[in-house]
Amino acid sequence: MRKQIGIITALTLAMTGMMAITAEAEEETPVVVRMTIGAEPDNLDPWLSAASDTEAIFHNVFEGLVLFDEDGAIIPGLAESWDISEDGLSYTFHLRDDVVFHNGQKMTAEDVVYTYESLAGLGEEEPLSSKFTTITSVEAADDYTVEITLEEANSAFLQLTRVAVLPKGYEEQSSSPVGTGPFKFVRYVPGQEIVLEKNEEYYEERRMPQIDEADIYIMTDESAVLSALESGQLDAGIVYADSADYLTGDFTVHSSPQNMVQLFALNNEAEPFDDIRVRQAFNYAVDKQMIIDGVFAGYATPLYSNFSPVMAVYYNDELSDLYETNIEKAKELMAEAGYEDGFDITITVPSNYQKHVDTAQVLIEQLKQINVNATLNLVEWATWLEDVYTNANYQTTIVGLTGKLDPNDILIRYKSDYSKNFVRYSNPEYDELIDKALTASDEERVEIYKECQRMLAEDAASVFLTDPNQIVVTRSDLKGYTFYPLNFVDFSKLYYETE
Amino acid sequence: MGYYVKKAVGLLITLALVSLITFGVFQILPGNPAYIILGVDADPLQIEALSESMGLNLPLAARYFNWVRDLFVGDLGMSYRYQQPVSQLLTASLEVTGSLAVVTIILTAAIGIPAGIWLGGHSGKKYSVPLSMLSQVSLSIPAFCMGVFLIHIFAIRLKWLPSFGFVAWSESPAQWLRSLILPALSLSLGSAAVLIRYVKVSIVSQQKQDYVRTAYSKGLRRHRVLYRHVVRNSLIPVITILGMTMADILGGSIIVENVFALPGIGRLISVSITSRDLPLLQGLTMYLAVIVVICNFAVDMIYSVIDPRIRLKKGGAE
Repeated sequence: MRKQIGIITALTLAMTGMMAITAEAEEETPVVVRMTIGAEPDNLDPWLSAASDTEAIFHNVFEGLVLFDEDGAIIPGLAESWDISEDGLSYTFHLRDDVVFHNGQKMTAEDVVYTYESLAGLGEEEPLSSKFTTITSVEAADDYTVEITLEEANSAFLQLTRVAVLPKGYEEQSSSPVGTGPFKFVRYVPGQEIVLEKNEEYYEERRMPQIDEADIYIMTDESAVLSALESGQLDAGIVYADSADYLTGDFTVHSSPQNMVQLFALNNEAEPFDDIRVRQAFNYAVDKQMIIDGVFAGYATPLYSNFSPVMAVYYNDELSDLYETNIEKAKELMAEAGYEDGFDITITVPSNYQKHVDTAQVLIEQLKQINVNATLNLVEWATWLEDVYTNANYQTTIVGLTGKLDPNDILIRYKSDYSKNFVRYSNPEYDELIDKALTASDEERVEIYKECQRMLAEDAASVFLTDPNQIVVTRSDLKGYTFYPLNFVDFSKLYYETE
Repeated sequence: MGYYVKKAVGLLITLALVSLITFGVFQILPGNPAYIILGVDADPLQIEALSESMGLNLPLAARYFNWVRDLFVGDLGMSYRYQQPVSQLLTASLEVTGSLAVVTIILTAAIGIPAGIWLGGHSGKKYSVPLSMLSQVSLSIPAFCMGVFLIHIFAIRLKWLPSFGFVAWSESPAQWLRSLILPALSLSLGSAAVLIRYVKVSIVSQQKQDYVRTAYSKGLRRHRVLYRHVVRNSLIPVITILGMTMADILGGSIIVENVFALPGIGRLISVSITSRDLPLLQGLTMYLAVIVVICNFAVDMIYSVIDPRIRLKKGGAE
C-alpha cells in the first residue's frame, strides 16, 4: 500500500519537475506577434478566396495596384500613379519599378496584364470574377505602364483594383501563395496556424514591418482565446465586448466600429412585411440603445440606414430621428395596417453568432409591446445561407453584413435585380439611383448614395440595428494596432515598446 | 481463422452501410458547400468555379460511385473545405488525437489501477471513504469543465503548461508532452474514476473466491495474496475500460479538442459537418468505423492473453 502511494507521488513529482525544466528552456527567438483568427482560410489563392476573415490576414501578403488607408481612402500601391480618361473608360496605371514578388520574380506590366486578363476572362480561361467582366482590354504600353479599358464608365472600378496582383506563370498559389506584400507566407497548417514572416525586400520603407514574424492561430472557441491571452501564449486576440472586461492582467483593449451593418431583416415580399406600415411600426418599436447596452456592453454604434458612420464621406447623418422609439406610434401604424391584435412571426437566426441570438431575445421582448409574438428559430449557418440568404425563404432574420470600401458594394444589396437581395426590397427609383451613381462625378455620387440611404430608411426596408465594434485585446506593450473600414489586421504597423 | 474472416466481412458490411447512410443524410441537409466556404460576399463566378472543381455538378449516383471506386485504390478524395487530400488531413489529425489517446490511457491507468487496488484492499475502512468520494466527484465533472478548471490553475495562474495548441513529437518530445498533459488529464480524470470503481469492485469480489481462501490457508501473507493472485484476476475490467476509453478518444473528443484548440479528429469532425464537407466526413466515418472495430478486436485479443480460459472457450465454440 505504501508502495502505491509512493508511485503516485513519484509520478506527480516527475511531471511537475518536467514542466518546470521545459518551461525554462525557452530559446532566444525573433520578434513575433501571436494572434488568432476565428475561421479557417477559405482559399490561399486570393482570386479564389472571398471570406473577409481570410482577407484580414492575407492582405499582408498580397497587394493590388492601389491600397487603402485607415479612412478607407485609395492610396498608391503597386501603381505609383494613374490617369483616368475623360470618358471614364480608360485607366492608365504607372507601376513602380522596384517591386519583387516573394519568389524573387520582378513585378512588371506583364504580371498586371496576366492578373486582369485572368480575372476578366480575356484569355482562354473562364473569368474568375464577375466584377471584372466589364473590362474589354488590358494592354502593356511598356514594362511599367498598363492601360485597362472598360465597356462602360464605372466610378467604382478604381476601388476594385486593390485586387491582388500575382506573378505570371506561377501555379502554386493555392498551396504556397506568393505576393508582393510586407509579409511572406511561410506555412498554413489546417486547423492549427498560419505563419507569415517579414519581407526583407519590401519596397516601401513607410510600411516596412517592425516585427519579424506573425503567428496566427486558428481558434474557434472564445474562451480558449481568453485563456491563451491570460496564460501569455497570445499577444493579441479578437474577442467579444463583454469578455474583454473579464480579462485580468496587463492588456490594452482597442475598439472601433467595423463598418458592419447588423440588420433585423424583414422579408419585404412576405406577409405581413409587404405592408410598409408594419415595417415602420417595427422601426418605431425597436429600441436600439437597449440592444447596444444589453448585448454589446455599450460597444456598438446605432444605425439608421444600411450604412455605417465609419464611411464618413458618404454617410447620411440626417436620418437619426426618423424613427425614435415610440410604442404608441407603432401601435397606431399596426392598427392602420389592420393588425391591431398583432400576429405571430419567427426570427431565423444563425446559431453560431451568439450576439445575433442575444439580440433576437431582446427584440422578442420589445415586439411584445406591439402585440407581436415572435419566436426564435435557431438554424445552422449552412442552413441559413441556403434558406435565408439564397432562397429568401424566411420572415425575419438577424445578420451582420460586413463592410465594403465602396458604397456601391454596400447599397447594391437592395437593388431589386441583385442576386443576393435577400431582403427583397424593390423600388425602381432606388435601382435607377444605383445605376446612375456608377457614371456620376465624385460629388454627385456622394449625394446619390446619401439619397439611397434616405430611401431605405423612409421605406423602412428593414430595421437597421447597430454597427458592433470590433474589439481587439493586445498585450499592453504591443503598440500600433490600427483599424480599417475593412476587416484587415495590419501586422506591418505592430511593434513592441521596450522599456 | 474463420473468426478473423467473420470479423473482416463484418467490418466491410459496416463500412458500406455507414458510407451509404452518411451520403444519404448529407443530401437531405440544406447548404451548398461552395457557399459555406466562400461566405456571403462570394462572387457568383467564384461559386460556380468552386462547385465545378468539387464535382458538385455531377449527379448524385455518379458522385457516390466515383467515391467508392477511388476508395478501392486508397484515394479518399479531396476535402472541399481545405482543398487537400482527405487522407493527408486524417493522418495529420490522427497524430494529434493518437498522441492524446496514448497520454490519456497512460494517465488513466497510472491513476486508476493503483487507486482501485488500494481501495479494494482497504474497503470498509474509514479512511477509504474520502478517496471514494473524490472519485465520485471527478466522475461527475464533465471533461470540458475539468479542462477549463485545469487551464485556469496550470496555464493562467501557475503558467506551467500551455492552454492550447499541439507540438509534434518529431519537433520536441518535451513540448509534445507539455502540450498534451492538460487535455489528457481532463479526459483521464473521468475515466480513471470509472476504472477505480471497477477495479475496486472486482478486487472485493475476487477476495471472496475460494482460491483466495486456499492461498491464505497455504500460509501466504495478505499482501502477497492481494498482489500475486487477486490483482491478476481483477485485470479484466481494466482492459475493458481502457479499450473503451481508447476507442472513445481516438474517435475524437470534440469538446476537449475545442477547449484546448487541438487540431485533432474531433475538430475535423465538427468542421466537416458545419462546412458540409462530404468527402472529409465520409473519410472520417470510415475511419471511426474502423477504429471501433479494431479496438474491440484488440480488447478481445488482450483478454485471451491475460486469461487463457477465454481463448479456450472461444476455440471450443468455433
